[in-house]
Amino acid sequence: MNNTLIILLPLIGFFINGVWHLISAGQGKKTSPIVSGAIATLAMALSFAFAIIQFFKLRAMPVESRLIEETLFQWMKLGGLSVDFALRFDSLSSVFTLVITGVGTLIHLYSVGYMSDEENIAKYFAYLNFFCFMMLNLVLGSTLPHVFLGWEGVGLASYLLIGFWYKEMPNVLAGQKAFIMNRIGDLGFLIAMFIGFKFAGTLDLIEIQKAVLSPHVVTVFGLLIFLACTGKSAQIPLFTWLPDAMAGPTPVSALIHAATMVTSGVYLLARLNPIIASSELVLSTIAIVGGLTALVAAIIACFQSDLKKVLAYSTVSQLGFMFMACGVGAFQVGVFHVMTHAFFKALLFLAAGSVIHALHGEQNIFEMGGLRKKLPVTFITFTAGWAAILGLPPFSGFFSKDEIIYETLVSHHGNKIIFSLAIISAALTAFYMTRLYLLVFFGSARMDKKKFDHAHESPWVMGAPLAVLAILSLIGGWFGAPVSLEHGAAEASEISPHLIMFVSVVIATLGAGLAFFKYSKNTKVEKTTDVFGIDRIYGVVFGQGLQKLSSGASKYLEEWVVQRIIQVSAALVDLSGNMIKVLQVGSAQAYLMMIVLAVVAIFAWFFLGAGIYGNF
Amino acid sequence: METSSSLSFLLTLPLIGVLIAWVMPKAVQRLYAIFGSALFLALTVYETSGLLFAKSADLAKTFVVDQKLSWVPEIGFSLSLRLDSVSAWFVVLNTLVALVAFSLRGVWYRKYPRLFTSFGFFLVFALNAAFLSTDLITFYLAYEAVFIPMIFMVGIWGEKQKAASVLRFFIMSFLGSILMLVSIFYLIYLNHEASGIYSAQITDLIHFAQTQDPVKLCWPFMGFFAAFAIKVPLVPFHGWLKDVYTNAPMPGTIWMSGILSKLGVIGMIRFVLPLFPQTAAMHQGWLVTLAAVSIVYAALLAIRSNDGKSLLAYSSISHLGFVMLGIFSLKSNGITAAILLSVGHTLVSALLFFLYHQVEERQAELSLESPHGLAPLYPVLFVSMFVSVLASVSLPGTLNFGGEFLVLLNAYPVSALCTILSGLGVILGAVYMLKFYQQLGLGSDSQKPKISGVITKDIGAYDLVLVLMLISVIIYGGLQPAMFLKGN
Repeated sequence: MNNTLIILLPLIGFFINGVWHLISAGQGKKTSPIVSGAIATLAMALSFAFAIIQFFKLRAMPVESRLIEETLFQWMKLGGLSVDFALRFDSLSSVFTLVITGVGTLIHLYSVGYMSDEENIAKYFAYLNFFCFMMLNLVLGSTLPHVFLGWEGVGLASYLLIGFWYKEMPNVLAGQKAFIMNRIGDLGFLIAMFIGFKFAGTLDLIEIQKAVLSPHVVTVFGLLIFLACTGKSAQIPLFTWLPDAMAGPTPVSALIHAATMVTSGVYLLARLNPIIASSELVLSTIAIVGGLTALVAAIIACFQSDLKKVLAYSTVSQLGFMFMACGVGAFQVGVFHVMTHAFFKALLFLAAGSVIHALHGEQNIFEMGGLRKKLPVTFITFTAGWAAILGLPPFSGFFSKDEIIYETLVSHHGNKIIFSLAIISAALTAFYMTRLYLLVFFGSARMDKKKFDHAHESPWVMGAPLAVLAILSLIGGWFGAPVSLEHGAAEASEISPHLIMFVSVVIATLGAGLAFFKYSKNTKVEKTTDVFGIDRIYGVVFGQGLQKLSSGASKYLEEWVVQRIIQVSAALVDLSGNMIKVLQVGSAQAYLMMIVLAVVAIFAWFFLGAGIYGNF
Repeated sequence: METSSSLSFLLTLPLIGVLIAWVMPKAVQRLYAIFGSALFLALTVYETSGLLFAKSADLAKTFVVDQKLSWVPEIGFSLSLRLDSVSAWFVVLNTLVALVAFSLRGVWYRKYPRLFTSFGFFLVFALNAAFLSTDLITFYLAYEAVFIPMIFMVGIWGEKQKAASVLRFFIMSFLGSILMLVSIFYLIYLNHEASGIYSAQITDLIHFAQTQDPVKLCWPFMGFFAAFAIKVPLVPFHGWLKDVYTNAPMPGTIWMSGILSKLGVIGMIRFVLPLFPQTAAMHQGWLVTLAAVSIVYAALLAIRSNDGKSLLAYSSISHLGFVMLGIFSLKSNGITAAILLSVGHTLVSALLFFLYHQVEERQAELSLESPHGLAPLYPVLFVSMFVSVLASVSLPGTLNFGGEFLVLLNAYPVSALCTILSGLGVILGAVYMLKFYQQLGLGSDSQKPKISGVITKDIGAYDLVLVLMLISVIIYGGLQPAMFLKGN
């Protein structure tokens, strides 16, 4: 029952706020942020409470049988396929469930303050609850189609929330881009399911891992699943939607585009780890793509001037770290980083939101500066997030990131290339985050004086979540990876973990030092530079390519061939007799009567005549 | 519980409906049509409930009704009808589509309203006859009878280029019908040669066709295939569709995309595959290719469309391509999935055209080239529209997802390549359907939308009830598709 309640509560919240929004929108009334926010936050808080209950139940069980399953109903059944709608709470889903509901509750609470001026606030909270419902389906579902339900559902919620301010067409288009790029990945998911069913005969997440599959099938299946992950988790080549997704409200960016949805790919890989890890090709693809994404996104982040965009590219880069961990077979380390990242990245986004809120929407970091005295709570909490992402001990990021870097070197799937990608990305992370940190909070105020004087610390509903997340960013890594997966433990190695720890702290300090050297005094305005131009290339190749293909099909094939054939045959018929005249409107009633009479005659013949004419 | 009376009432009641339409005053035709079709829908569901809601396929079999009336036995003419779990769904959908089409307000209730209502009930009759019949002559007659009111409907209440589109519709349909008729006679003739009896009974002909060389049956197979491929339509037999759909009055469009297209579907399932199993297997390669090409090609045309009605028309072809893919998998599971998807397609396309008509009533000029920003003005209407769009892009949790997913799952072992190609339709579907919704509902902060329609209020209470009914079936079916998957 408790598993069901975990997903049911956000659904109820969604319905209450959704119906309320429709009723009041129909009457042109505004909805109250306090009431609708309270409903939504309460739904999430209760869901979190049940997740904690389940977590402790799970802990009380013996390690090898830690699984609480609830079957709600049978979903699909056809031939050999049988898909149940069941919720499975095990150690992997427990981590994700706690993060989703816990961080989710904080972000709901924060939204009450951040979105208080919003006209359609009930709609906003309905969407947010809907997102959590779908995300929980994704991590609790027991079969691949159920995960896919959540997978597409969170994509929908993301589309709706990116385009929340839908009167501005660019926001809508950013949402559309996210939805469609995700769908490209989803096609990989679909085909992986078809292959899985063809060769394993089941789509159940536990059963499919027991199936004996040929190495060839495993490789194709793994690569397709990874394609799906590149969409949802914004990896090369499908990462360009995530920076655009910043068009949505900042709490949305924190919840969906940093802490939860974008980590679905890591969840899926960890969930299927026995299959993924049995193909060397799949693993090395994941590691290389993850490493390159971490590096490329970190480079781009150094050239951004929009506060949220820096954080967005940072998220892409950090997701790359998680995939590197999965790619070297250390899935549980990847999941560990999902958790710590959820704390500090949600914190960074919310703190950034607090800054933007204080400056009435200003997002350019070169129009900020000197805010540490004006916004003390935001400043202190942001500092915690900054220290965590840099990986400074004893902050949470230190433990998880350090373990990833360690694994890339010592795991027998790892190698020096992955290790160097990780190290360079870590240095760049320290650089761009310190750059951001200095430009926002230190130096002199570069915005006009009036704006600076008006800047004020946010209300407690925003401050409290920041404080909680700051504490979590500090202590979140002290307990180590909360799950143990089949493939996860590091092998014993001659290389001391302490050496790697030392190296990574030095690297971070170097990156931060360079940024300090460059930005502590001199704050010359930098324009955002499109370093690699990937977005532009995609726009030309896919956006315009599709339009060209579509207009080509409609112009050359449809108009010149298909329609021409019809036109010619129509002309021929027209010549041979003006049949169309029959349809002159005036006498249509007469024609109808003719039809009815004809039908009646046929029936009369049929029922009566059969006997009479039967012997003709 | 079921007797043969259920079959005669499915045919006689709609005809009575035609007659009553002529005695009802013109002013109450819409009311009459809605009540009449709603009542008939309730009766149909009640009578077929044994088949529709049976717990298992075996249980459903006990409710199957067969009825055969000898007509001209010497030449094999008889009226044979069969109500089973496949035809039961189509019969119910038929009446449901009629209810949706009758509910639209428009010129058809101002100009010759009696004619419109009686055409509508006649369509219900003829379609029921086609869905139920199990002999080729009855089927052919019903199949042709459907065509007549449709032609008149386009001709009388159609839009700008109605004459040209009527001609196209006529030519293409006529071509298909002739090919089918020739094939029917050819089969009857061959059977007579072999067994000495005239019979158009599908059971007799199937029996006969089994003994034949599949190569010899190639031509009749092609004849049937062409007729149904035009009806569905399957690319490249779709040339008539865009003009006819866009120029037909909205109820006609709903009838055509919602249920007339299913004549092709049921024709393939009932006649083509059972009659020519080996011939179809021989040609399976290009059959699945055609289905996949239909999906992608129609989706490309839909992306290009700047008119809502033609966008929805192309989207309809694209989704019917999935239905065809399921049928051409030639496996009973694939066909069952195709039937599930047919149900979903009927509901979603009827719903989308219905809602698009509602938007048109509120805003006359609706080019999709620029955003109109209408959603905030009519929030309930646009939420319904959005849910329908999601069902159309087959989001999991909707009936259409169950259908498309199971079709592709069963088509994959047949042709991985065609399945992947069809999968592209899933991406392209999102491209054009989002464009459709966004251009109508979103954007345009700068300029206030100019209201140019006859209605300025949000969706009315009756229309909302109808829409909610359809949406709940779509979502319930998405969570419990087992109900539709009892096999054929």
